[in-house]
Amino acid sequence: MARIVVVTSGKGGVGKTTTSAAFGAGLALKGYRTVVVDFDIGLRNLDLIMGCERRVVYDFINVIHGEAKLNQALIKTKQLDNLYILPASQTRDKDSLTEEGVMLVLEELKKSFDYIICDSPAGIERGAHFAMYFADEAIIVTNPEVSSVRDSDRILGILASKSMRAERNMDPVQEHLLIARYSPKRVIDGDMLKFDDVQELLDVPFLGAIPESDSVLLASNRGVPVILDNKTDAAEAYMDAVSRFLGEEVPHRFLQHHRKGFFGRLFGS
Amino acid sequence: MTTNTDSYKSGQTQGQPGSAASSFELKGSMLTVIELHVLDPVLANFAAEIKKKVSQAPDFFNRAPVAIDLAQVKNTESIIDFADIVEVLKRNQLIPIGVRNGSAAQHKRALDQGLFSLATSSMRSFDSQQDTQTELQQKAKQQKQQKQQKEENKDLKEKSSYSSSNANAESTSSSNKNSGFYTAHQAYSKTVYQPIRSGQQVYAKGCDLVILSTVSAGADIISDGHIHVYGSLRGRALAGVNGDESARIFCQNLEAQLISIAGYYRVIEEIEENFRNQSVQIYLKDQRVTIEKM
Repeated sequence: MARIVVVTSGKGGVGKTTTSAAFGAGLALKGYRTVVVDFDIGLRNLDLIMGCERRVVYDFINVIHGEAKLNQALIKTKQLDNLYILPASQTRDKDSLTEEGVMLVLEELKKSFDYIICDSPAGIERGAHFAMYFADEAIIVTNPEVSSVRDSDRILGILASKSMRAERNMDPVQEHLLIARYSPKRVIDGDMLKFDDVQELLDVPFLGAIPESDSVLLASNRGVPVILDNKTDAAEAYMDAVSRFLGEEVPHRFLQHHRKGFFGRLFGS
Repeated sequence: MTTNTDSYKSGQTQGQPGSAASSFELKGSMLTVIELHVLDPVLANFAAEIKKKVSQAPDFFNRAPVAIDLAQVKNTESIIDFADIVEVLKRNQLIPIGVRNGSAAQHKRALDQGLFSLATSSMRSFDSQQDTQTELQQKAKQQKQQKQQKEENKDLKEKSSYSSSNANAESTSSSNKNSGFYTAHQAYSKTVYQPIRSGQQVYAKGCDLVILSTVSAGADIISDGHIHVYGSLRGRALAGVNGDESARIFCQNLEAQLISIAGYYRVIEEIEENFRNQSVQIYLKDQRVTIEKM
């Protein structure tokens, strides 16, 4: 049975699209047929991050309005055969989304995919609402700072009251917490909230923390999901999180700060 | 003919859960209504007189709502022809809405012509006599039940912590003040199992509120009675919002942004350091919000 997973945060710039791309690729690497849907209508980014921007012809809104078939709008990524994206429209705005349209597209996607990742726009308005409304699971992306945590809390409240599952009294949306841009060193310095404080404040099962890393920015600019960028901390942290998301027991890494010894600094390992 | 302000009252309840995205809101407002005082039940020459009046200030009267006041003719034997009044008013671009201050029989006949019975302070409905009768009987019964229950609960709870106004918000009047305890089938408390998130609001109307999880910063929990929180309390907690000064807040971990009992409040900056992150109870003492470790 296909699962609809929303990646959301409330606040902007915390790493939703990066996480959507990484989780999409991670689930595809694990062998699941996966599609990532960009709900940020008017501010299309996902195609860039996943390196598909030159192949966008039709988009999500075209499909909703019946101007294109779903298969025409879906783009297969270069890196993985079982990973697709459904790009957002850059010329329309979020009012073009309709509940019925979104539902029909998601129902159609459910027939051919195992995981449908909905990349939510920031905010709590129409775009974010539709991205989360049909979700079975939610990945809440939070940065370790107070405003991000509060916005995530707000989103969790909306998930618990305004999602389809909540409105129809079904089992609640399964929530997962992912902390992005985590820097153990800045936690020690007292500049950043510690991961377990964030987890306690939000009271949601913890998927893991993604260390702050230049490799994330580089991967985005190159249009490759960061998780495919082997050997970097961020890629491994994302892969661990994907495994935990699938129910595997994986020990947490990247939560402690390791001071480099003399040789370590010398050889840069 | 006088102009009278008539108020349509509907108490806007504080903190209905999920009120944020409601498609409507209820508000009390004052409307200007033209009152037509009937002085003579026969209403000879009514049509001509109205026409004359309206022609003097057509803009003022254009589609104005009219209430028909029957105070002067309440005790008359003659039958007022409401159908005629309605017809004449409508013909003159006036909108008859209802009658007031008349006898029960007059109001009943007005209702047949599509006129509402406008309540005034002295009279609640046109068949009020009947209503009052049954209402009184019910009240007596209710009081009896409450009394019994109170006695049963005596050893469990020495003092009833509810004033009648919030225990029985809809059905009580001044006659049974201070007799209040819950009637047999009323809810004693509202229990919430999920975390209450920033931006959410939970209101326990007429009862206690029990929360078995955390209350996030930016969330409101509101109760007419006590509030119990068996998790961290980081949001705002308002107990006894209906005016019950004996309401209390109990919480296992006090980090609240604001605590309030019956309208008296303290914000987090006014909460002493040594009570933060402690298991406490909060109550009103000499009209001051008092915190005590448990």
